[in-house]
Parts: sequence; structure tokens; C-alpha cells
Amino acid sequence: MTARIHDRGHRSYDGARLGARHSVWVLFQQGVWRVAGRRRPIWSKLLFALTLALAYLPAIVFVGLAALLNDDDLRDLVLPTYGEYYGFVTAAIVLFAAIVAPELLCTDRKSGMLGLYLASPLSRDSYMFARAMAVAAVMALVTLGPPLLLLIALTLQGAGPDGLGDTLLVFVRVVGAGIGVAAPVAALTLAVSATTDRRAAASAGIILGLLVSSAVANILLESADAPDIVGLFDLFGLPFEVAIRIHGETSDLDVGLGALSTAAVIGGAIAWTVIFGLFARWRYQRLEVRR
Amino acid sequence: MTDEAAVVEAEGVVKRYGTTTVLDRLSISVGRGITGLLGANGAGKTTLLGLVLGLHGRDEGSMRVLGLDPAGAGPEIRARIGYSPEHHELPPDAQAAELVRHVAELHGLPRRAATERANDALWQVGLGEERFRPLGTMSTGQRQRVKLAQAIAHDPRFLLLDEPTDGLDPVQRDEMLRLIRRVGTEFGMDVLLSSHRLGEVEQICDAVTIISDGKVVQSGRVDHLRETDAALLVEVDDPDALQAALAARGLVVERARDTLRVEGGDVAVHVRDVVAEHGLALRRMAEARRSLEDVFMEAGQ
Repeated sequence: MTARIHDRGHRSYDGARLGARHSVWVLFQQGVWRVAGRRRPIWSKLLFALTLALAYLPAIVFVGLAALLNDDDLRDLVLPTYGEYYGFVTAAIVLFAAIVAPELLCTDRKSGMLGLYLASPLSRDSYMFARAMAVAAVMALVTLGPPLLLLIALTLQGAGPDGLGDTLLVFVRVVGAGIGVAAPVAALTLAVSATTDRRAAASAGIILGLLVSSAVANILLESADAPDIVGLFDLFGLPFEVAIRIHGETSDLDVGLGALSTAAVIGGAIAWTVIFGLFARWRYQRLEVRR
Repeated sequence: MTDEAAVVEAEGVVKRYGTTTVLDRLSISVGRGITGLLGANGAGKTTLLGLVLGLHGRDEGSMRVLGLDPAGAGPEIRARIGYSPEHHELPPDAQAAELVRHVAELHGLPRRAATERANDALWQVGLGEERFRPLGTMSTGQRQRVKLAQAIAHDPRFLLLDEPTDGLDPVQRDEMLRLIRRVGTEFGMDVLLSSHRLGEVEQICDAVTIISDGKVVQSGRVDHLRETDAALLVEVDDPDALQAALAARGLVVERARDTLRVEGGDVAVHVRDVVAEHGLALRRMAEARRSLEDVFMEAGQ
């Protein structure tokens, strides 16, 4: 025998109503889970997992090598510095840069969700804030997570920095470098994604923006003897140079970014982050929302 | 003193985009129950909804929504409003229950309560069995219901429905209108229904506001707007004789086939006397009620 529900009636809601901060938190969480492929087709989950694997696999291999090598000198020779590690996660960073912000911003506009979001307690600014935090958090998974894993594992093996003071200093540098790489890249991806509803176009624009800016800056520096400050227009190289400077390491570059002071490099990264962030905000303030 | 029962109260609102004045000293009072917002495309309906939601600033005038000024309290107002947009696009890979729960959470409900109420709302709109289906596999009618479900799930005080029957066939349209009527009467939510379809507003709305070129041209209870204008519809066995006699008494008589529409003072007394004098057989005498279409046409649409 089967039961049938004919009318459930209406129940009014008298429970808690959380404020606008809760709305921002909900949107942030939804953004991170969406990029992670939750309740999405299998290829979305796979792409996310593979990108994470690309970023974390080198760290896991280096931790294994450190466990096998007892000689400190040999270990120092084989293991990369924290600044150098970003060379191993370049592909993962570019992949996330190309997919995360377009997946969130372009999809919200194309699917009509932006209209629903802006009819909720979210404002245009709080919407952008929640989405920017989600993009930065996912980017930080590959810019911050692997070096942090390396630091923790090496410290536990006794192959990490000496003493609590050094460990804390390296920890602060790892966090700073992770944020320093994630922030300008995330801001660039938000700015590009704010210009089109098409995910593919935004992804292509982001990759082109990174590669073309790097190519043009390097051609100007090497062939046209442009001043070193032009290196700040290398949007691909700048975040990695920031990581090297934060870790107090020496740049491999002789001209451009490598010849600039640490303050100029970090200042440049902050300036690009602010410029791209303000551009994305400006676009969304003027965006006509479909209702 | 403003009407305390008014959900939306606006006085002399002006909204300009550049040199274009979209709302021109618009004054409106949306009371309890279901109110229809009628107007042609470009009349200013969407801009008005945007102002109600606190999404745009106004250039002049005052406005209160649920007792608050949307210019400064947009998030607080939006937390208490349910909104169903006109467009049909929804994330194709999201399940109906997932979307409705997400919107309820955005409106401040904790996760568990949002999940329960999302399921309840989808049952209320007749999609209980379909709630785990991806939205991309749903028909336009089902998506319209999902839009209504996400608007009511957080138990808002006030609902804004923008063209909720757009894209529906006549049967689906009637079902949707019954559903909206039920929401507006049984769920304790006041409704502002933006539409360009006179029939549906006439069918379910308690009141109507007609806007044209950014101004309110008619506003009031639907039954008041349709009220008799002191004209009578009369049918007798010899309409020619009746028409001539009434015209001779100075009354305005219009004829459509065998039915006479008579206007003027003391129409009923004149008709009675003429019928008696000429020995006519009176078949029908009724108040001439205007349709909402008449009101709309008179408003210069």
C-alpha cells in the first residue's frame, strides 16, 4: 500500500535569520565547492583533482626524497628552495587561473543567477567580495598548500628550518609568498572574467594575458633595452618573482624584474592586484543585470 | 500619514538614466494582498522593481518598502522579499532542491532550515517528486515553478513576481495563477505581480496599478476600477423604439446588436418609464461593468 501526499500546507518560518555576512559566507562556500566539482559532471571533479595532483605531487616526491637522503648536503642539493618550488606548480597555477574565475563569474551571469544573487541581501560589492575570496582561496590551494606541506613534512623529518624562530619565519614567508602569488593572479582572472559571459573566451583571455604580457615585456627588455621597470608588466613572471623575494632568495633574472628592488617588485604586485580588482568592481557596478 | 498596511509606498519618485527619465514623479501605494503592476514594455515596471529591491538609487522622491527606505536598507529589505525574475535561465546542472536551498540560505536561513523549507516549497509548487532533477532537464513550466519555489522558500513577507506565466501554455498558466492566488491568500505573503497580460491580473489580483511612460495612470482595487459608471445594459423586444425614446430624453445610447448601453442621469428610472409607456418587453437590465481592458485603454495604453 502506498501513501500519497495531497497537501503539505504552508508553515511559516519563525527561526533564525542570519544577516548579510551569512549570505557572503554561503556564496563563498558555494563558489569553492562549485569549482571543486561538487554535484557537477565527473570531468569537473577530475579536472580539479588533477590540478591539485599537479601541484602537490612534486611536494610529496620531495618529502619522500628527503626521507631517503640522510646526507644534509645532498638533501640541500636535491631539494628546491621554497621560492624555487613555484617553478614546479606553474602548470597548476595557470590551469586554476584559467578555469576558476570564469567558472564562477561568467556562469553566474550566463545562467541568470546573478539576478537572483542581487535580489538577495547581497549587494554588488559583497557579491564580488565573496566571489573574489572564493577565487583566491582556490588559487591558494596550489600557491600556499604545497609549500606548506613541504615545510610541515620536512620539519617533522628533522630536515626543516633550525629552531622555532627559523621555522616560524619560514612559515610566515610561505604564507606571504602563497598570498603574494595568488592575489595578483586571482585579481587578473576576475578582471578578465568580468568582461565576458563566455567561459571559454575568459579562459583564453587569461592565458593570453599572462603569456603575451610576459613575452612583450621580455622582448622589450632584451631587444629594445627598455628600462627594468618594464619587467613589472610581465604578469606571468611577477608573482613568481614576488615569491622569490619574500623568501629572501636571489632572482635568476639579470634584467627587468630581477634588477628591481624587492619593494618595487612587491609594490608592483600590489598595484596590479588593486588595479585589476578595481576594474572588476567597476565592471560590476555598471553591469546591466538580466531580470 | 502613510497607509500603515501599505507594503510599498512611493511619493514623487524620479529615476533618470542619463537624459532619459524612466520614472517621472511616480507615486504608488501597494497594499496587502495581490497587486498587479501593468504596463507596456518600457513603461518603467522593471526600474520600479529595481527601486523596490534597493538596487538603484532614485533621483528624487521618497519610498518606503516594508517600512524601510530601500536606498539605505537594501539588504534588510531584500532579506524579506522573495523575487522571481522574468528570464527562464537557471543553472542547467543544478538540481531544483539545491538551487532553492541555496537561495533560501542566501536570504539568511541556516542550512538545515533552508533544506527543509526548500523541499516544502517544491512540494507546494507541485515539484516534490521532481526536486532532485537537474534544472536543464525541466520544461519551461517546471522552471517557472522552481522560480516561484525559490521566491517563497525563505517565507518572505513580500513577493515580487516578474511575468510568472511567461512561456506557459493556457493550462499551465491557469495552474500557475491558482498557485499564486494561493500563495497570496493562504501563505500570508503580499504579492506584486508585474505583467503585461490584463486577463491574468483581472483573474487573481485584488488591486492593480497601471503605469505608462514612468507615471501611474490608474491605480486601485480591481473591483473599484471595474465598477459601474452609472451606465446600464438594456435588452428589450424592440430595441429601435427604446433607443429612440431614450435618446429623445437626452440620454446617451450606444447599441451593439440588440443590447443598448445607456448613460446619463437616473438611467434606471428613464428606462422603466419608457418601457412602461411603449409596452416593451424588458428582457435584461444590468449594470455596465468595465473590463480591466477598458480601464487599460482609457488609461491611454
